[in-house]
Amino acid sequence: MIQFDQVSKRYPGGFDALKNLSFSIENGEMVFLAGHSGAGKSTLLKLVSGIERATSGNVIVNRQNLSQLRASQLPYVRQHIGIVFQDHKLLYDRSVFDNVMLPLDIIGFDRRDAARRVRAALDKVGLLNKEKSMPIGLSGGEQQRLCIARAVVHRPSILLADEPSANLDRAYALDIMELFKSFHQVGVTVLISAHDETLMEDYGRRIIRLREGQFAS
Amino acid sequence: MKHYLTLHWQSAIRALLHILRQPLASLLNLLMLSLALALPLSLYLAIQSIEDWSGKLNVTPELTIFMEMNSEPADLAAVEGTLKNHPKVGGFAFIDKDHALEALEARNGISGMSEGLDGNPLPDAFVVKPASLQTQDLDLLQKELSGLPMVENVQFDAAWAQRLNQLLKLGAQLTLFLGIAFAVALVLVTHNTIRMQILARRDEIGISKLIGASDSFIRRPFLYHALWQGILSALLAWGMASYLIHVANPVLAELAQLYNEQLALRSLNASELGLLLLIAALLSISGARLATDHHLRQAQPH
Ligand SMILES: Nc1ncnc2c1ncn2[C@@H]1O[C@H](COP(=O)(O)OP(=O)(O)OP(=O)(O)O)[C@@H](O)[C@H]1O
Ligand SMILES: [Mg+2]
Repeated sequence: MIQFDQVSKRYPGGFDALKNLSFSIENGEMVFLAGHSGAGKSTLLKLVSGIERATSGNVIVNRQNLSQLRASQLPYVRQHIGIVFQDHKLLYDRSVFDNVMLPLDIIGFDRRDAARRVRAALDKVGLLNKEKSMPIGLSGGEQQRLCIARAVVHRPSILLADEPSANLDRAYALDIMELFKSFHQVGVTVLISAHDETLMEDYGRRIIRLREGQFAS
Repeated sequence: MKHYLTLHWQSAIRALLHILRQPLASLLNLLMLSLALALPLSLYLAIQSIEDWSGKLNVTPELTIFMEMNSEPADLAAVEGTLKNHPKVGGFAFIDKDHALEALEARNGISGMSEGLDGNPLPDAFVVKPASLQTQDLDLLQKELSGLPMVENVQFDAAWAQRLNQLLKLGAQLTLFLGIAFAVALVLVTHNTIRMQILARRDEIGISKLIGASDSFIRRPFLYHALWQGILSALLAWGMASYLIHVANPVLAELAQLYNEQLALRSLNASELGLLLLIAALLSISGARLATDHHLRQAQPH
C-alpha cells in the first residue's frame, strides 16, 4: 500500500514541486499518474521510492513511514520496489543480461538461480534473444523493455513506471501497457505516469491528475 | 549467515579476478605499494640482525676505578664501603696493585719490572659491574665514582658497545619514523587507486543506489580490491627484502671476516610476516574506506 498524507516537496532553491498531497493506493491496484511536463509526476514517484524525501507530511510505503526512516534504511525499502526510470538509467558498458542481473546482485540473490530469473524476465519482455547485446544496440522500445525487465526481475511488490510509453508509437505503447497489466494481474501494485491521457482512458483505471504539484480536477 | 558469507566470498574472488585481469596496471600499483613497504621492512631487518649480533658479543660494560698512587688502606675501605651499598653496582672486585703488577709481568714474560722503574707504577683498582646497562645510569655512576676521595679516575670499558647500542636505538627510531611515513603513503596510494576506480564506475554506483544498493554493497568490491592489493604488495615487499638480504649477506660475511666476526642479516620469521600482512591489509582497507565514504557522502541520492 502507498499512502501520502499532506505531503509537500520543495526542492533546494525553493521550488514547490508537490503541494500538500493526500491519497492512497491499495495493494494490487493499478493507477495512472497524469499531468503536463513539470506537474510533479517524477517527483511523486521519487518520493514513493525514497529517492527524494518529502519536505513535510508522511509517505507510507508497505507500512513503513519513509519520512521517519533513516537514510541508511531506504535502500532496503527500494529493494521491494521496481522502478522504470524516465531516462532509462541503463548501464551502457554492460550486456543486456548483466543489466537485468544487477538488482539480483544487490539483494544478494543466489547466483545459480539468478541466471534463470534473468532469462525469465527477458523472456517476459521479449528480449531473450538479445541477452548478449549491449543496450546501445537496442531500439528505443527495446531499451524501454529492458528497463522493465530490470524493474521486475526481483519480483517487487510495487512497480513504478515513469513515462514508459514516451517516444513510442501507439501500437508499441499499447504493448508496453499490456505488459504492466499482466504484472498487475499477478498482484503487483502498479503506478504508471504519462502525460498522454488517451492511452490511460482505454484501461478504465483510476487516474491521479496533477497540475503544478496539486490535484487537477 | 551462510548466505552472507557466500556473498563475501564471491566479492573477494571477483575483486581478485579484477586485479588479475589488468596485469599491467595492477603490477605498477603493486610495485609502488610494495616499495613503500620494502624500505622500512629492510631497515627493520638490518637493525634486528645487528642487534642480534651485538647481543651475542657478550660485552658486559665494566667500570674500572683507579686510585691515587698515595691512597691509604682507609681510602680503599671507604670506596669499598660505597660500592657495597650502592644500588647501581651489581658487583665489584678489588685488584691490589701488587697483584696487578705480577699479572702484568706474568703476561709479558718479564720480571723485576718494578726494580728498574723505581717502585710499582700501577695503582690499586676496583673493577665494577654496573647493575643497569642504561647509558644514563652508566654515565651517572661513572661521575659519582669519580667524585669519591682519592680516586684518580674511572674508566669505562666497552664504551664502543654502548655507542653501538645508541646507534641501534637511533636506527630503530628511524625505522619507526619511516614505517609511519610509508604507512601513511600506503593509505594515500590506496585511497587514490580506489578513488580512480570509483570514478570509472560512477554510473554503475549511482544506478545501483537508485535501485536499492546499500552503502555496504557499494563499498564491498572496493574494500576487497584494496585488501588483495595490500596483501599482494606485502608479499612482494617480503620478496624484495629477502632478495636484498640474499644479495647483501655474502658481502657482509666477507666484511665481518676481516674482524673475525660472523654477521648475517636475517629474514622475517612467521609471526613477523603475519604482522606485516595484517598491517598492510588494515592500512589498505582504511585507504579504500576513506575513498568510498567520501564518494558515498558526496553522491547521496538517499
Ligand atoms: N532536483 C530538482 N531540483 C530543483 N527543481 C526540480 C528538481 N527536480 C524537479 N524539479 C522541478 O520540479 C518540478 C516538477 O518536476 P518533475 O520532474 O516532477 O515533473 P514531471 O511531471 O515529471 O515532468 P516531465 O513530464 O517533464 O517529466 C519541475 O518544475 C522541475 O523543474
Ligand atoms: Mg518526469
